[in-house]
Amino acid sequence: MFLEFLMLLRSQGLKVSMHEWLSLMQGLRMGLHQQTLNGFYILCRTLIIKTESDMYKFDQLFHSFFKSISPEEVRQELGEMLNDPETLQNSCGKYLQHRQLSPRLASETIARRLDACEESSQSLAGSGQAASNVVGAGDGGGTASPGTGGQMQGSGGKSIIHAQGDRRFRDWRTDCTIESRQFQMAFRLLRELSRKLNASEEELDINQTIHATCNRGGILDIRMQPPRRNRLKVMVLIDSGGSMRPFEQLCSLLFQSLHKANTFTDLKIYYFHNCLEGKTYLDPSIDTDKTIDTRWILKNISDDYRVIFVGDADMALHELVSDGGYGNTDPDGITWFKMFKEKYSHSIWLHPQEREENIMWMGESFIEIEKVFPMYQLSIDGLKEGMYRLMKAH
Amino acid sequence: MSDRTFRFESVDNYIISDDLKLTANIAISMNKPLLVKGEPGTGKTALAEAIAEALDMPLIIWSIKSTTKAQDGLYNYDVVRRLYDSELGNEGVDDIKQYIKLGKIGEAFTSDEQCVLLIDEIDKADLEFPNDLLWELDRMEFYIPETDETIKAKHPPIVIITSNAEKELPDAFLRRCAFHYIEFPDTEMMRDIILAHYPDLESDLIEQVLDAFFYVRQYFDLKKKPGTSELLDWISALKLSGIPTDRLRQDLPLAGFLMKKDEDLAAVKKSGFGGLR
Repeated sequence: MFLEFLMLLRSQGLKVSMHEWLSLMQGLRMGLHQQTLNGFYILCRTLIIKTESDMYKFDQLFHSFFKSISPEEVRQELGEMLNDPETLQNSCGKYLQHRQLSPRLASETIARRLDACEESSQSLAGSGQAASNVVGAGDGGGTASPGTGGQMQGSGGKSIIHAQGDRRFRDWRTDCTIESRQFQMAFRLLRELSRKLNASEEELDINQTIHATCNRGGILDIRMQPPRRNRLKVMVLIDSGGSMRPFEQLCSLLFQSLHKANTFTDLKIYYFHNCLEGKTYLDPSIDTDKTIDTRWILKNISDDYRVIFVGDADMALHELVSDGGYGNTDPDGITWFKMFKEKYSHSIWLHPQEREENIMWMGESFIEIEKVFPMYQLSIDGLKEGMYRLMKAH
Repeated sequence: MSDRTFRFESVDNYIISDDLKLTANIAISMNKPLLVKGEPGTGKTALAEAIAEALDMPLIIWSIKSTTKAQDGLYNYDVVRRLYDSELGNEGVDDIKQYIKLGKIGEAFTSDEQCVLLIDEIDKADLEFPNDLLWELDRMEFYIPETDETIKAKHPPIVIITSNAEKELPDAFLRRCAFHYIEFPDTEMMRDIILAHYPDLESDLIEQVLDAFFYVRQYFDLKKKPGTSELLDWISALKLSGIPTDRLRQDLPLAGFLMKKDEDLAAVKKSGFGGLR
């Protein structure tokens, strides 16, 4: 039964490994859950959950899993055990000894307790207070072995499990949108520390100097090395104005944290309006006086830049795909995007809006662009995933 | 069994939730490092002090800074001093042991009685830092190549690790820890905490203070919300200053003790506090 719980946790994306599992079993064997449901809950949480952002999910799963266990199931399992005195002696002999109960007496008590539990859970359905009294009583009396203590009370104190459904870790989920500090933490993922920068710059390598000096019996021997720097270069193209207006604050946060992160060798930020065109703007105000040829970027900015597009990817189809009418010789939007993708193999697209469950519900342009760039939502999780993607060699 | 398993009960001036108490005891009896996270000022560091006091063990604190390396906690080999000694022809240069100085972990391992080792704010250090400690904390031993010596813990210390969640900790490290997130105390618990620190405080003052405190936390959009330690500071400041306390929530005197950021103070002032109303 507990194994099923493990599988459920894993299938819902919590990282639970054998390691945690064995610890939990060891904890149960040591009786650390104190034969109470809450104790069992805490024991599980302590050993399995390692970050507050997972707690909400864990609470939900714990709730849903142990809620669904019926008293009959537990009754049956316990019944089997009671009919087999040897197993009973093996698994809870120590406990019985501790309580000075004979196995026979214990099995009677358990049977009685089970009945009482069932009765009260029926008559007092939903009343958490009353049900927890039953659990409390269960503590003092003779519940089963440490290993099954959790189940036992799960059966009687069904409604106490309800209380677990109302835990308070909702705020810590990482799939919601973010603050500047968290942005910066995500950008730190973007680093490629290397000493192989231009060799002219050097700093004193203290450790090597000391060792070399010692090796020479105390005659100073200075060793130099190139400094360790992040040699990553980043170019960001931000969609500004129009449909991006609701996300302005988020984008300015992103902008600020990019600057504060300040760990890149070079950071270039350009703006575009809705869709890439022949001109790209240098300023978020989309001032037509401050522009730069998009071709210039493609020509002059080397292909080792990591490129991040930020935008809602919501544009009119005729902006994205034009048939080149009106004597317009400029490439259309999608061609621009493809040219960028071709030159900068490390590029991603961040979009600020919630993703619809069904991709077909998003704008048509969104789908088109997703074919060109890997897309990530501008949330902590999305940003991190995006950063990992940027770091990966293609 | 119970006295061995559940050794840690609360001490006088540190109020602890049942959840945390149970968690701490689980970690202690399973010999796992306990990783504690929580808002600043919820008493993460104080937990280690409380455990040390309750179990009557010495407390060894290793405060992590951004420059701290894992090696620093184990031992330091003072090569430079040895070099000087060899140049000056001092005694004992051959004895490398003389130049090995144990760090905080080394200290905890070699201690003659079991102790509590607090690794404070582990997230301040470099990203790789926790990984470098995996083996040492797992096996409770480390090796000093210079002297060909293995330091093995005589009595495995109780390890408490605190983190402010500034950096993600690596999975492999987390797997070996027990974890607890300290929630912000509710009014009831906060009252107990205040009483634990100031047992002779009049009850209506406590109510006033609590009222004002939770009001500030709840209704202002603050960059840094005041925590328990700020509240305790504020109370002692109020006591010392002798300011009349019947209009605490309206006037919010000495707000600087509660809010440490200029923007926050300004935001509260603007909304009509600080004697304007």
